Amino acid sequence: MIRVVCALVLAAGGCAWFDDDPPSRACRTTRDCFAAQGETCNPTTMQCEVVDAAAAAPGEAP
Amino acid sequence: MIGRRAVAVAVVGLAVAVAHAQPSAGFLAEFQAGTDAYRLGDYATARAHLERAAAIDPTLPGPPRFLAAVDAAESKWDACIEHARAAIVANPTSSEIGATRKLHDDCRAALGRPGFTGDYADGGALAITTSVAGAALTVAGLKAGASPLPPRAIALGTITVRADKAGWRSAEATVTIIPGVVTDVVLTLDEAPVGVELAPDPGVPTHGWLTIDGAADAAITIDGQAMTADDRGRYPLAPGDHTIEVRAAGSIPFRRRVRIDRGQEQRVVASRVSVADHAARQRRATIALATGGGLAIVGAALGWLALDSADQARDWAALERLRPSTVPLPDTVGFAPIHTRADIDARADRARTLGWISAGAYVAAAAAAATGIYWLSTAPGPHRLEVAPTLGDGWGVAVRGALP
Repeated sequence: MIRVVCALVLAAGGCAWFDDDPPSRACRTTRDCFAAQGETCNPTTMQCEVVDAAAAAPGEAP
Repeated sequence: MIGRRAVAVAVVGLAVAVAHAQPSAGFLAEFQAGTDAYRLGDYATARAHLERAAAIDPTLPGPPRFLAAVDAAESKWDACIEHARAAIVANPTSSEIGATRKLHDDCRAALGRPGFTGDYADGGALAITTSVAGAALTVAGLKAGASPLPPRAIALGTITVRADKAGWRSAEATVTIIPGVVTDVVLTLDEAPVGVELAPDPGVPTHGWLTIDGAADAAITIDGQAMTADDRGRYPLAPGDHTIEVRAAGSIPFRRRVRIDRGQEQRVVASRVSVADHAARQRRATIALATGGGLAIVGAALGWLALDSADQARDWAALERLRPSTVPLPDTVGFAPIHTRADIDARADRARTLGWISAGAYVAAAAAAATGIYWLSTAPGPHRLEVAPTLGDGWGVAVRGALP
């Protein structure tokens, strides 16, 4: 029983270790951003930024 | 009258002596045929004629000298040296002696033997090599250093040469030094058989002794049997491994494996650990192991939550990237709820936080487990757990025993 628990614990730890990072604002093109929410990729900072405040408000009519 | 007879006898005797000193016709014919064939380059024919001439009169130097030349032409260097030496011995004052010595030296040089650079004076030279270098050489009863001996001037005559070296049979040879050339001696030393016989020493004991300190009021068993100490408090034991056990009231049994060597005294200190202390240590170790296990489970649970949060954030981000920008947002909500960047960042931050907490829990679990294993494996008395490094084809750690 203890061996099984050890194996499961180590397996969980290994999965967490090798898992991908959560998403961030880093981008290379605008496709990496939420274009529908008004984001574009800033080529200088390589970060997704909102350029149109109106598009950034979800649920509002355009 | 008597004087005339004496003169006549002397004349006849001289004539006989002169006739005897002159080579025979057969010798001259063979020798001439041999030299002619040599000059024509027919070495086989030359050798046959010259050998027949030498057989007719072995005292004349001509045949061996030409035979040496034939040997040199056929690259038979050892035979060349022997024939040249025979020619020199036959007539050391021959008018051809200079050419004969040069032929001898050339054949030696062809064999890679060092030449003589000194002055022969009226003598010769001696060079000695041995099959094993570094042998102590003796020439005519005098020490001559270590082999190999380069050519060294020496008086004419027959001498004895000897080579000695530890671990090898001595070698000896008798050689004749001839004038104006180097006489080579090669001695072969055979390996001497090695035999060492050890006489039995009745003074060496056949057993060793074991002394156990700290066991005054304890029951001692060795290899499961009660033993009695001698008048010096030692236990005589046969050479080899033995298992000792010391039992005392209120203490856990002390066990140890010892190796006894013949004639040696082995001393062991029997440590006393009370049963209560041992139980407390075992309890602490068990608590540490349990804590480690609990922290590991917490770490695994938090890790799973971190994975779930990260997956959720990635899924939301993927949906938002795919959401078309040419359609009004409200029209797409029916297909997938909107998650703003703030929502996704919050979920990602949660995943990171949980991941760090999970990692910390794992580290703490490992530390607690290591502490528990250390306490278990280093506790005196019978170990429930033994940890030791392994060597051999690969390295690693061997664990014997079972976790609680």
